[in-house]
Amino acid sequence: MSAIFFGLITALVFLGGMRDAEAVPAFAQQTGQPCATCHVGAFGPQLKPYGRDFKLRGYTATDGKPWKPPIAMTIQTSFTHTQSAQPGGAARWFAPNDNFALDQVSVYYAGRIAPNLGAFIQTTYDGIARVVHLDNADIRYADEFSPFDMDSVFGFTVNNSPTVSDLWNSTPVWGFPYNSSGLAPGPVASAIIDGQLGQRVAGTGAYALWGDWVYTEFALYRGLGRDVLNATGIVPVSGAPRIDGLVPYWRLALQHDFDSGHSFELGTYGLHANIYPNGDRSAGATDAYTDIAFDANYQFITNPDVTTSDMISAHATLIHEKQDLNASSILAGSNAHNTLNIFRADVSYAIAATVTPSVQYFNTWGSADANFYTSPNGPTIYRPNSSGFIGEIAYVPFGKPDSAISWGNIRFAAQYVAYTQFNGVSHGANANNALYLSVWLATHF
Amino acid sequence: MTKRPICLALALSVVGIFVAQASYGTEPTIIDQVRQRFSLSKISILSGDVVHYINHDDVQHNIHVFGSDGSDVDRGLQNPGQTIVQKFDKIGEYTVRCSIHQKMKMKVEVRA
Repeated sequence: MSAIFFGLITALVFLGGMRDAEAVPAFAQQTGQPCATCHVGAFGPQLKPYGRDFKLRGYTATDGKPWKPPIAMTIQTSFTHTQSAQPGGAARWFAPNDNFALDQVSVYYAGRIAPNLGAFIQTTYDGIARVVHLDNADIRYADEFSPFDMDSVFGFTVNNSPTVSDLWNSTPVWGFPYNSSGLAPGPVASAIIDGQLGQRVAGTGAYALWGDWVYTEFALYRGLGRDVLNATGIVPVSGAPRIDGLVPYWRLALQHDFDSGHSFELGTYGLHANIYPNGDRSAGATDAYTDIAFDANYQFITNPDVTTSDMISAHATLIHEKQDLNASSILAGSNAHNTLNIFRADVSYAIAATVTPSVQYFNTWGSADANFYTSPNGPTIYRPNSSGFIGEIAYVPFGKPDSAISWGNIRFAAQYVAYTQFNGVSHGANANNALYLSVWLATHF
Repeated sequence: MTKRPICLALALSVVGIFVAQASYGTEPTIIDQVRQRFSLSKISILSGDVVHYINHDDVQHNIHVFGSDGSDVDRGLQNPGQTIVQKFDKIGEYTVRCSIHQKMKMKVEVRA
């Protein structure tokens, strides 16, 4: 069934109506710009300088045509092959190996609400877990100001995931890989800032880009209550970690986009969160997590005069997490204090905004603590260490100034994840290697 | 007899200077739109002068003129290669922007 759907989507794209080249989903419809103006490789979410500026200014840029509801949709389908089959099935409803899947269908409100107010709100049907839930959401107000005669931009954001508001693709929410298999085994350890709070919090923050050089952001998040989580489709609710109090998030970056086509960013970001493990308050204490991260970005557009010129894009981040496990040490016998480190670096080279090969090195390492990392029904995990490489090649035929299709775009990608270490074990880590073939369709209404 | 040609030459020179000044005043100013930027960030022109905005990029732009007196003139979309000619009649300060590429902006000072 999934295979039929996979083929149907492809056929629809190529047999669909042909119109003047214009744009992809709602942002492109609003600005009249093709995908390649904002995105590396002519497909989101990796941003070019104009894409960052568009987001910074609250998704409000417009070509002046009459406002239309900025509604868009994406569909992701895939085939996953893992080096070793997964006994019992890759997930509920799926075979041990070689699975076709409808990964997700998302509907977006993405664009302007008022002259200085815009939003990116995504609702997703997760075809692996088979649930509908509120996905990334970021509502912004932005305006200009001129401190010390410097052209600057400030804004406010209300969102539901730390780093979803960030402008760079080195930070977790929008980092490489931009899609990945939900049916391949993955490392058990990740930092709190590395996606664990996504859609389980709501927060508001203020940001500013000072004189096109220094970016600052500060936000406060709060955990969502059970009723809200149930209403927004976030699962599981029972037994899930519960956040105690406010979670401060900070961001500081030195950045600049040069006329020559070079752009760079060097920054830091982080948060502090107090969490009841598995929602269990019986210990009368919380686990305290402090994440301090550094990141770097470099991009070079080989010919800035041409939207589809070749482009190199590199990102790196190092996350250091300090874990004070005041609750888990009582409830599960974990260590009282752990550290966890995550390093990722990727580079891609987009050829004519059409073919984009990418490679990433990733490494996670930290304190040995079997009682903390081992789940009740899973194998014993002594160390959180995992490392390896991801190679990917993506092909995007549309989304350029001269593209014949204006109502949508499509991305075909082949991705291979190769582990040198998996959950603390090197020998046999490659059993978790995975080939992921995906088709990602985007369209607006 | 020799004074007449001299006077005539002087008169023609004076007229020529005025003509030259007048034509200089109406000479269009060319602003190139390249790499999603205006080629100049600020210009000073005379009332009645025209500015030619030439889109050298391969994507659409827009010319939107905001006056310090609250005036607001949106010249609409500008396709690649297209020139938009904007005349500035009224003395004052203007900000010219592209509504699509909000980072693109320049100042125009219009003098008497």
